[in-house]
Amino acid sequence: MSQTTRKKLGFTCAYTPLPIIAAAGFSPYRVLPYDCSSAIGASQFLHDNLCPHIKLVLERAISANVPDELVGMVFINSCDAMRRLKDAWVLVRPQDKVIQLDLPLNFNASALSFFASELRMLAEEIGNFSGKALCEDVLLESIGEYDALAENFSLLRTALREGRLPGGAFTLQRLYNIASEAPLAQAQAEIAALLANLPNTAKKTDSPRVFLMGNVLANIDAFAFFASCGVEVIAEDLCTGSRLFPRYRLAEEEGDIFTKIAHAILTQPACARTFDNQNPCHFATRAIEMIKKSGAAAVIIQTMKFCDPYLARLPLLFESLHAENIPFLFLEGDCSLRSLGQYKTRLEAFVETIQ
Amino acid sequence: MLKEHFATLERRLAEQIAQGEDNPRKLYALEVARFGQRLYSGEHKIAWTGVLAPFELLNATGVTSCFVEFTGAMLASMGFSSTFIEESQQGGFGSDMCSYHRAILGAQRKGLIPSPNFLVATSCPCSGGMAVMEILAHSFQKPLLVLHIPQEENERNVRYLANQLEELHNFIAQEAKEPRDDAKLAQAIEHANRTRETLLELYELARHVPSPVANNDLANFAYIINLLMGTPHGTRLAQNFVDAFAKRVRAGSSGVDGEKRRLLWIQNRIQFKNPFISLLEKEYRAAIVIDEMNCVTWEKIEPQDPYMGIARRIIGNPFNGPAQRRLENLQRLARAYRVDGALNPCNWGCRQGAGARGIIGKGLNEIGVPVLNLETDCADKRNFFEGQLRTRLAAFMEMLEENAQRKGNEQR
Repeated sequence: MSQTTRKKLGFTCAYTPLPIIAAAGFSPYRVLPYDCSSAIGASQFLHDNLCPHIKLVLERAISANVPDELVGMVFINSCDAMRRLKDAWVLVRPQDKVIQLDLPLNFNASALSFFASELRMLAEEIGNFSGKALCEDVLLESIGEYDALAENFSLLRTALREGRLPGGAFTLQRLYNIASEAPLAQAQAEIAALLANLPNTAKKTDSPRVFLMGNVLANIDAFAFFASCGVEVIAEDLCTGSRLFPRYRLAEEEGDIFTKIAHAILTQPACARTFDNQNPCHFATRAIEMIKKSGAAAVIIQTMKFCDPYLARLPLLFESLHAENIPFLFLEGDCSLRSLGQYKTRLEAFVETIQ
Repeated sequence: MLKEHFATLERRLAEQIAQGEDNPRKLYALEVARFGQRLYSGEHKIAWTGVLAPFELLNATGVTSCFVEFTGAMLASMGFSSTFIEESQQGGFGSDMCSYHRAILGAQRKGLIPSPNFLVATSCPCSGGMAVMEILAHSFQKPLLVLHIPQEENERNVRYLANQLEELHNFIAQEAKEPRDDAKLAQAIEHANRTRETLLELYELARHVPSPVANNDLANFAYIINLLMGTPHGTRLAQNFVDAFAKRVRAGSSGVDGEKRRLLWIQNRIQFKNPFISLLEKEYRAAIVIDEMNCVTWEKIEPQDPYMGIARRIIGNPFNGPAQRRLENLQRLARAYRVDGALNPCNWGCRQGAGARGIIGKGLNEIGVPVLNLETDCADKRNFFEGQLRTRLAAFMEMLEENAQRKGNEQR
């Protein structure tokens, strides 16, 4: 079956094992929180205090604003809101195959073994669903394709950091969105064409170089907005960005293929919900390391309203940024450009202070 | 402050009980005061935990342990939570976070949370609670162990959690500098099983029509019983209520005078002083006959194989897993207790509990149980709007009245 006619399995979290979904013959499709006019339908199922990301995703399900080929969802047990989204999705689209993967909170031997068995369960369930058992050769091939995608995104991120990516962060986010929604081959073709034509020299700019971090920010207009405010985003750490396509590097790990995939996922750059027992609040430490490595002069932190994992950890991040004398601006969003638009004056003032 | 509060409370209650005012709620409050004293005395080994921590393991190792939300609730009941919530906001914690958690974080910033020997976080019930545990571990620079509670109840997941529980038992022994004692744990499980049996008896009595339960009798009861799991205190407290309720049932008396409506309270009570409960009793003769948490959803635990049994209990908790499981438990309770309606405070900031508001409301309506979503804050009095609640409650009780009349007409 060609990739364009494949049925789609939706996902909503950067921890989703996309190669398994693809190997089972489905096209992974990220249900992005498009800026619907409102989430009134979703509010009938979910409380007003739940994050706008999941409410807008549910709104898409309620208003049938998803591709006709979408036949199911793979949810990750990443936070309270995501669990509630899964509960509501089952009620709104009872015809869908819905699977929830239980993602451990930290990385150790028993968590690895547990998550590997979750992945086996996923492979078996979607294999049964597609009517074709998933075989290891196909899975390895799929992993190879996603590793190639990850490698290409890595090249694009380098080009962005060096100022050689035409259109900057806007272009990169547009490609992340394509790779999240469209068949892999289509995304790879676009990326390959762009990589082949990358300039060798950096574009000259006076804009301050900024690191963008947070959780969900997929709206490409938001990146155009940042640029219009005089900000040059040179690197990011977002659920809808660089955390989406990790490299699996299977050869380095021991165990069966699912253990290797589990290892790759559990050791990928962590979001705020993931723990390190030995190093509580490692989130702030890791963020500082990434920011310094990027060479950015300042940081914009954009998180969803009502996101507990971030809300609770931000004060320590702020303290760490202060301690390192790294200027930062915190913006709380709701997946719409309206909320960001309100921050225009603050953003421009921030740019003035760091220029 | 909390140390003095618990000392004063214990002294006052002990005096009242000595003078013959020994109703089960007073005895319960005395146990809470004693527990609080141990927690804040500075003389005991202590641990801060998540709500679903296995307290048998901690109690068997001699560690006074408590889920952090307990302190948030205590501060609210004393009327101080708002001050500490403001303090947490000064520290950068957003106002959209759960107010129990903000109160704790504020109290910690003010030095009112004793430094523990270690911490045990649990992935259920909520992401917010997990984050608070991580912040406390970082602030106190104390060891943290994270229990990952799988969502689905099956043998593989029970085994996975059971293995974590055994690791936890070793961790507790190591951090408490006590030898791991499996015999003491088996004894603690025996206590927990006795508590379970007594709870079954207690909840059976509470189902009577009219119910022997007064609106505040069993408020927060399950939480405290959970803290005392594995000790004889839990059984004793439950037995006190069994004795009192059995007496009331025999006498044909009800907890709420002239019980007219029977209500189910969803999730947590409002922790600060408020007129809501007495309004229910006096104005509407409405009895809260069942709180969502006051139920037994687990089987007896095998003392010689404790980890598997505890793991089953934790995974099977209605607050773990899909909201549908929680709804089914609520429907079961609503039917068993023959309730006319349900009240859901929808604590602001509770993504886990209030997040499922719509699903729960719809599911209870489907079995003929209307739900009033109070949309209030259970730990921050500043977000309790009495006038608005009175109006909405009046409309709700009117609807229950009409429902009752319609049912009466249909039966005729």
